[in-house]
Amino acid sequence: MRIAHGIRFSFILAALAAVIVLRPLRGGAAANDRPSPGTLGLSLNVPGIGVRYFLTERYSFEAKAQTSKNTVVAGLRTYRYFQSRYFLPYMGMEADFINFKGDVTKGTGMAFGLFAGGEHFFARRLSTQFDCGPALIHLSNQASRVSVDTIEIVMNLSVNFYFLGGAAKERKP
Amino acid sequence: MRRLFLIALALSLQPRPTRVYGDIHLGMAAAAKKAVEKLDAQARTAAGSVYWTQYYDDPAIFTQTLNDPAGDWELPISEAPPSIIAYNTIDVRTIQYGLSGSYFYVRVDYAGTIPIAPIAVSGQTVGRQSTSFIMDTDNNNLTGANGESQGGVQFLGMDIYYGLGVEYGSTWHRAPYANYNFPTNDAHVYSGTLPGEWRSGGPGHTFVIARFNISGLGAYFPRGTTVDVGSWSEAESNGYHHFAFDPAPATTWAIPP
Repeated sequence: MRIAHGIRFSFILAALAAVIVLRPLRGGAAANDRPSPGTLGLSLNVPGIGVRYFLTERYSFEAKAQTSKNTVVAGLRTYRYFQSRYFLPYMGMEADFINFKGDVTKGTGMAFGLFAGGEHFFARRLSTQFDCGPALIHLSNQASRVSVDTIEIVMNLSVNFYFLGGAAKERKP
Repeated sequence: MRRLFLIALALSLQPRPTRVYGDIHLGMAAAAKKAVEKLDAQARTAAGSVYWTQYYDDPAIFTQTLNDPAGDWELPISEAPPSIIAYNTIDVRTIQYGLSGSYFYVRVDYAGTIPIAPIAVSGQTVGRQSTSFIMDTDNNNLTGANGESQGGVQFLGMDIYYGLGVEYGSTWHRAPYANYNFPTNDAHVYSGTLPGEWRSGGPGHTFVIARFNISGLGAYFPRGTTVDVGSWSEAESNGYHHFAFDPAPATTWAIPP
């Protein structure tokens, strides 16, 4: 496994996320706070935005969009939360539509990913999350009749602001 | 759970000698960008398998450089769209040329990447492009043919014409070629033809390199003489033979002995 170009920056962000997610709380929100059903939030991820909706306390959905150099990724993530004393661990999957323009190719594609990570509330309506997992990406270029299927490891880092519906509430571990 | 998370994070960032998966990326968009790079490489390989073998030629061969300003488009006098089309793929930046043994080498660098398949531009489908390189080998404007008019000035006395044409996405391709000995002023009437060879570049790249064995050209390649040289590039679409046109300034070349 090779670490991609720019991984130093990514590593710093990931490490920062891990520290924030895993550090013990000092006041503010409780460590195992979680949004109640119906909560709606905005997510600022690297490098894009998303809208999060909690269907139940355990399940949430996120519509997200990201861009990176003539590549636009838009899709849906689903989360399944678990209980923990220090943060909110979760796992989930995502499916994305990709529109891209390369040096000699352009077209569309799909991505499907699995991930596991954690979310931590550092304020009543603010949280940060980090997750990581494999993603299968399929791209095709009809003009040249070439396609590529590749599995990449994708880390996700985002900050969430929950503004509608039930706010974070404390639960007993 | 906290320990499990730390272990998972550490494992995900641990470099491994065997490459089972791809790279690690921050965000799906970054991963998709990497996949696009792989697709580009695959497309280049696919195009290369049809068209081009990439030979290596010593850059020192190219002893002369003709610089062409960026964006100096011109509307051709015939078979052209109503207005100028800025088609970067044929916007010549430099033309380099030189000799190695009995071969005359030409390298053309463009502002854009040569497509690997026909592409849609301004409502047209562009399927081919070519760069022409011409010489007045006897320094006589009254012999040979006339080159393309550029900026209202016509290159007179073209004695040999080198054509570097590239087809986008075709299963065949035209080899570079040279036409010479024009008995009239018509550039389409000639009695001599010399096939050339593609060396590298082509579809998926921003340049082409071709070479011609000039050992049999005699007076049409007068070594040790200074000659006028000129060039232009053009693209052809389904609607216009001269879809886009980029002239290059004429200059002189002291051909090495």
